[in-house]
Amino acid sequence: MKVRMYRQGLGDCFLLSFPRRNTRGAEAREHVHVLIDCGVLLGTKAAQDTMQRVVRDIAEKTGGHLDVVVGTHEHWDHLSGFQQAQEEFEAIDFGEVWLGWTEDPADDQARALSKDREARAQALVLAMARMEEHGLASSPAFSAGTTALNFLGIDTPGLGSADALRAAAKKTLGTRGALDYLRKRGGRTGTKLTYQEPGTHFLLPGTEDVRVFVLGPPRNERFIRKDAPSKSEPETYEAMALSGRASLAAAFQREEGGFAEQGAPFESFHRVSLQDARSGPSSEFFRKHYGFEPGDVGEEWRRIDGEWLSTAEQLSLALDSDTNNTSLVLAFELGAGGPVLLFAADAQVGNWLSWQELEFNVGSGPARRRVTADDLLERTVLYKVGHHGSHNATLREHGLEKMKSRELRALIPVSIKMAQKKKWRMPFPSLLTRLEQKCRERVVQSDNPPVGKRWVTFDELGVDVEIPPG
Amino acid sequence: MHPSSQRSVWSTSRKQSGPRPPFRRLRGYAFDPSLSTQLETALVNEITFRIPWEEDGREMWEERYPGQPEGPPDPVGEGLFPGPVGEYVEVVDYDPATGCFYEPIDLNAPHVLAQDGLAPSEGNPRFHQQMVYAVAMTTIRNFERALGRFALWAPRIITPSGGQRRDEFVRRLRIYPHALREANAYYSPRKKALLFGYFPAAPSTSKHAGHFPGGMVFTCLSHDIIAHETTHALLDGMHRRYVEPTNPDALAFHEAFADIVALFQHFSFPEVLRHQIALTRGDLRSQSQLGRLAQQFGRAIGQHGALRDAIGTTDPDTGEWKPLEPDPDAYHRELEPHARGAILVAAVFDAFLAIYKQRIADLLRIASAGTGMLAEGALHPDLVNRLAAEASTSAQHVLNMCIRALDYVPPVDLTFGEYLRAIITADSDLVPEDTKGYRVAFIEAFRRRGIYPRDIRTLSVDALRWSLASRDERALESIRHLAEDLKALLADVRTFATTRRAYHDWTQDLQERVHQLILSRKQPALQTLCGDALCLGEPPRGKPAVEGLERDGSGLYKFEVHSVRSAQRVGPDGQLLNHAIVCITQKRKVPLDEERSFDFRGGATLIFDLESRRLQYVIRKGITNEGRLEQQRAFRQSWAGSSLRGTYLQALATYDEEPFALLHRPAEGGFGT
Repeated sequence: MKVRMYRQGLGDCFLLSFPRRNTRGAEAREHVHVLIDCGVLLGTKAAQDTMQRVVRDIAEKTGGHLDVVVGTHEHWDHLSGFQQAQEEFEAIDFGEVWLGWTEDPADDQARALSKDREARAQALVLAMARMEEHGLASSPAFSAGTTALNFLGIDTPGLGSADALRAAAKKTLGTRGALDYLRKRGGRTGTKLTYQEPGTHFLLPGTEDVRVFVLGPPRNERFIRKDAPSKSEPETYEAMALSGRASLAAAFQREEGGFAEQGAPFESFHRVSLQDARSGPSSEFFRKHYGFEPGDVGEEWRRIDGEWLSTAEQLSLALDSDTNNTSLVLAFELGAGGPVLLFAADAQVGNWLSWQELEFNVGSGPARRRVTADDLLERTVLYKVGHHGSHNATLREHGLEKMKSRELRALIPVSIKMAQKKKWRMPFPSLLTRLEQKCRERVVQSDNPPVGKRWVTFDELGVDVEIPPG
Repeated sequence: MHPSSQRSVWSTSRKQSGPRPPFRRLRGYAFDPSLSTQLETALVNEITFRIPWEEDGREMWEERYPGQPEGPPDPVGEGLFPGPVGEYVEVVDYDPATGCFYEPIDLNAPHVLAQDGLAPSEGNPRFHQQMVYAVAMTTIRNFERALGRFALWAPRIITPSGGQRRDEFVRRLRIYPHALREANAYYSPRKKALLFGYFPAAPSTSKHAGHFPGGMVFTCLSHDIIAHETTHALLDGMHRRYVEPTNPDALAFHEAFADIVALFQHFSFPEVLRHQIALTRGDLRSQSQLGRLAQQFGRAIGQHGALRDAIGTTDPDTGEWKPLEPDPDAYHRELEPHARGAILVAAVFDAFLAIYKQRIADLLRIASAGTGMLAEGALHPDLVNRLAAEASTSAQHVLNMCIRALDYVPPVDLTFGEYLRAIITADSDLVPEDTKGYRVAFIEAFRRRGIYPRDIRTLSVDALRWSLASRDERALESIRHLAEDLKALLADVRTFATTRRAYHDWTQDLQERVHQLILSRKQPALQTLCGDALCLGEPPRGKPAVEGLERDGSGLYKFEVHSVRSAQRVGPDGQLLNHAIVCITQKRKVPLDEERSFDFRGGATLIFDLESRRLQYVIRKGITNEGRLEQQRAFRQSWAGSSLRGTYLQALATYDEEPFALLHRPAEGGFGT
């Protein structure tokens, strides 16, 4: 069997080709093809053209038929192709479309999450407009906001001004179009659309004995909110974010000279407006101790007009991480008890930890077996490294360290050039070192595949990796 | 020199008759507003702080410059003005998120004065201003008392383009009680300001939450949070380099120290202490309010109890409290600053409990007819009072030991082990005979948590005391002149520096003089005595210069006299301690990775005994210690925090931007204040 990792840039696009079950007669194709994600980071040069070439290549490699198409989570670098190369995709048949339960419009919990994501993105855009006005466009908070929005398909470099940002707050997320396209394709006759639930497993249609185990996204939102392997209680922080967000959003939207009523800490009669503080009857104190104009005694370096906006950094990182944690995580087992391919999308700590609570009961009667996440990790021979190799998307103790196979190989879809341009630490040096050790040097980076290895070949568009049979 | 001296000038010239009041009495919360709504604690939660009296500033101005408007050179003169704006702090109540200011409180207004300040109220911003002022001043006073000298804030560093860097005196710490709309509060070293946040409490996540969901929570009404942040500022004023992430202990120490001060301040409130002693029947190891920090904040962000608890934890499922067992591995495992800091806090608290237990052993025997086993039921109020007095004394002693130790630490890159050495050294000098076993209590508590200095042979008081790097008598003899000069110079400072500004200016001047003295003649001796901590003079002929270490116009390696302080203290038996502390530092610009570089700092703290005019200790951090350099490089490379931030923003964030703001955000995996 073979996995093709596309080389479109910083983003995920994987074509898995499993041997097809021997059926007498009509079936001419010899492989079952599964496409996992198809996207590239916003801001990549000639992105549309690249993605179209990728999709044409997929059509060619599969004979125009994908048995399964998977969209893992709502991030542009995983889905952009479903928007940018729709025409090319129209030339390909989809047997099934799989999305995580988190993308199911009929699911109450999913709808709430999705609505929440949009509301948070909007609040963020408004916060960034404020920052722009306070001259904070080069602050870490602004940069974090840009990152989070770019991943949701909102193009911030094009929004140079506060007004443009405010206008963008009214638009829907760019990723929504790509998701809609996947849902639409899944709804066509002859195609089956499934929203996958964690803890389920089934044979991959068309194969003899490839079993799919669905590990994530977790149903328990406690795990979705967890982005760091610390002991602190994660629900705390989300609960916080939920109740505090409305009052923050009100403050982000506050008009110049007005008050943010919602979430205001005191009755209105306590307030002294900025106008009055500058020139009202009690202005002497405020001009002396805070200062507004160059001539005031209150010095500029001590003022705090924009400091409160830096909370947007936290909002951004949480938004990004929570979305990553809705990743649909799939493990493909090649034959009962056989080797496993692990596709963790961008799962963060919480998603990984949630697998520990799962238990799969496969088969019945004497052939019945119990499979846990640890079993699957132990038998993993191919690990699609989470989140382009960032340091908190590969769990160490309960993840990588449990992968024991001597055949382990790791695929990192990354563009170091892009990561450097963005100043992101991808892949993270110490993670890369550990991967090299665990995989005995069999780590494949999409932008720099190894040369002269028997099991790896590559061309301009993709890297092909052979998986040894179990 | 002593904090009280500058104010006495005014007491005689006041128009009003009668002696100057020693204290201003201000009401406030002992913990935070949430304890006022619990029956058990409601009665003791509202206490009266006693703040050193600051005269009415406007009256003083009027006396001095009749008819003139208040004004520059200093924005306001001496005394206490509306704000409150006093000698040490200025409260400016700006709420940028809401888009307004709040009127400042005038603590000298008769109605306010007559009733010990405004009554505690969550809905009145002026009470909030009073509360932050009261707690910040209490914390400052504790600090000054232990150190025996003025507390100074970190200076503002001004580097004009092309010009000489200079340190500008910052008289007042700015306090913004409503600066942020988030569950956060922090000290900003850049603005020399405390920023407090407010936020709606989280919805209840468990039946044990016990708070009002959606209710407004003000971090500026929590004694613990205010004391914690003020301590960050005080520590930064003493050791500017301690905010740099040079090793896993560095930032953890800042957090731990701030928690220690906040915790032990609980023991200085007599009503609270007596109440809790009665409740726990004198056993402070059991569950009590005293060992907990920021309870309302902890619950409001959805935790199951206090933000941090020095002696126990609450089980999230059952809501049950259980005492914390020391875990010797935690120190090796925990890298997140708050969690790591908690280990140090627990160690110090443990030492305190051991000291307290020892101090009350006789009382318990007396009260129990010699058995030491108290009878069932409530304690006799007299016994409660005596136990409370012992607890309060023990706490004050432990806090003093912790604060004084700050004079005996290396100038940069502190580790917990070195802090233990500092505590032991400072205490051994002041109290030669450890009859009550304080030092042993500390060593034992630290040992139980796996905190040891790396470079000592045995874990004993003797080995832990700092020593000299070299016993080279010739070098020691030649450095004696420096000790003599220092003695004369510091005597001048004591005589003339009667205000904090003067004290700052004099010490600045002193640093310059000591720099000149070292340049003029003391280099070889100093080099011998400091070993690898400093690299003075010029590179030896034919050998390469030290990487990244700058040299001045005449080819000599640059160094900085980072601070010169004096420590004058009287021990319990009346013995006088007279030390001069000189910190000399150097920095090397060295590569971090292919693209970035960082400042690697080293140096030494020299402690002179001015009575014998001898150099007593040299506390070193090798500047040419390549092993330390490698460790620090590796640490800085891997220092990513545990969240996504490390991926996206690491390279962007110059760490010195707002170190505490980041530390204190939940996204970094640790709730903090």
